[in-house]
Amino acid sequence: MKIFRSFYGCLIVVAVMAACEKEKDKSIPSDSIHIDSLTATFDTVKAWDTTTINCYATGNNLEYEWECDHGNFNGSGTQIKYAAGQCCIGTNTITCTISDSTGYDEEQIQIVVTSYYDGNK
Amino acid sequence: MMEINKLPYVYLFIVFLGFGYFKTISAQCCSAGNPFFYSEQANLGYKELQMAVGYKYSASDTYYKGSEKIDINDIEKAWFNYLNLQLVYGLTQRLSIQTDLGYFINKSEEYFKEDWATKTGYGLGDATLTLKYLAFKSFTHKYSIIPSLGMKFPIGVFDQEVDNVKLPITIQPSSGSFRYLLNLFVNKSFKNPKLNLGFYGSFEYAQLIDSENFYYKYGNVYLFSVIGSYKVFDKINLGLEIRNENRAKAGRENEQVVESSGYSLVYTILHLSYSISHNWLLSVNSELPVNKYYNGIQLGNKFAVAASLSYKISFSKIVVEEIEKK
Repeated sequence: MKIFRSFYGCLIVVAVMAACEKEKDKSIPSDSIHIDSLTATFDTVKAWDTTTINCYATGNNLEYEWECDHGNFNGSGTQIKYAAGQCCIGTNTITCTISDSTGYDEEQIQIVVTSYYDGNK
Repeated sequence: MMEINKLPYVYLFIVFLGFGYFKTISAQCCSAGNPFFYSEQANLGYKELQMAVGYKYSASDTYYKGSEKIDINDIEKAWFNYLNLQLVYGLTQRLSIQTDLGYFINKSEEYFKEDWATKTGYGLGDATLTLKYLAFKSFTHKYSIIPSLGMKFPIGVFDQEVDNVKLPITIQPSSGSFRYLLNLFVNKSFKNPKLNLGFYGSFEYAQLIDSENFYYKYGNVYLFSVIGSYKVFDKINLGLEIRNENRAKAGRENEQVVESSGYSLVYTILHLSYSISHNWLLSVNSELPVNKYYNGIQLGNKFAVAASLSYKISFSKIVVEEIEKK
């Protein structure tokens, strides 16, 4: 019995530790690379419609990372397509992060997603 | 027969094997929530151990507005292949502890849009720890009441990405937040020993997901289920379950309610189990939603099939047998 109690004790501790694991550290902000602009073909889109987002940056051998708080992407690199369904109506934030060996820079753009039943795009 | 003093170590080895594998996966990415997986609800006896390995496949390909189908040119098909490792152990004659570990082989979305690539999340989902207590058992009226308390640990990695692009929350393997479970199982048997009836009720509260990328709170889940089973042959049990699953609307930043979230579903689930031997049990089931209501517009479940293989052993019986041999 003792071994089972010990095991479950360990399981709980490890599970809590794993769940509370801190987010990965980003590298330091860089002065030598810079996002010049982050633009979208449409700032407001109807649910499930697509907008294309471009990231123009200064620097060599850059790595582009994309994330959004709600919605979905297609593609990678300097240009990406973004769309979000009816679940994601509202103002959604898209973050582009560029990085190289010297560090990183990031910019955000907000896309408003309106209802599928709205006429605007 | 395996020596009794070695069995707990075998048990630990199996669990750590699963856990170690998970840690490897979690180092690569993240997670978004185990599906409901039918499992043993009854309480185990003192020093009884049950190990079960399960598999579930689920598919969705139709959008619904309320109860009506609607054509949306977005996701053509969403599906997952899921594995579940479950261990239940009787700490006392009344108290059992249960652990579940979920692993997604894949959790994928295929799109109508021609240039949109299929996306796939994978890896360890959540771990669940549940304490079940046999609160009441009547031999004369042949029923028992088993409440249980559980907690889901989001041990799988959340914020999974492919080619430096974050996957949508819908295909993240882990739920990304702790969840708390309150369950009640009532089992009723009859004079006819072939017949059995069970009622299962469950409430799940999900904590806010506040990760690097997501700020989201899933709605609470209320689940009610009635299952009747009948022993059609010596080793074969057939069961029919009616399950009602309700999820409240989700919330996002600035206390905004996600109107197209939450649902009320009724499933019919056919269960078939085969006793391979005294210790081994093979079970299969199929889930079919027969009544659906989705708030707003959502992708609806089409069907799911699951199978599990379980092995039960009683350490206390082995002790008695060992003593009798001596």
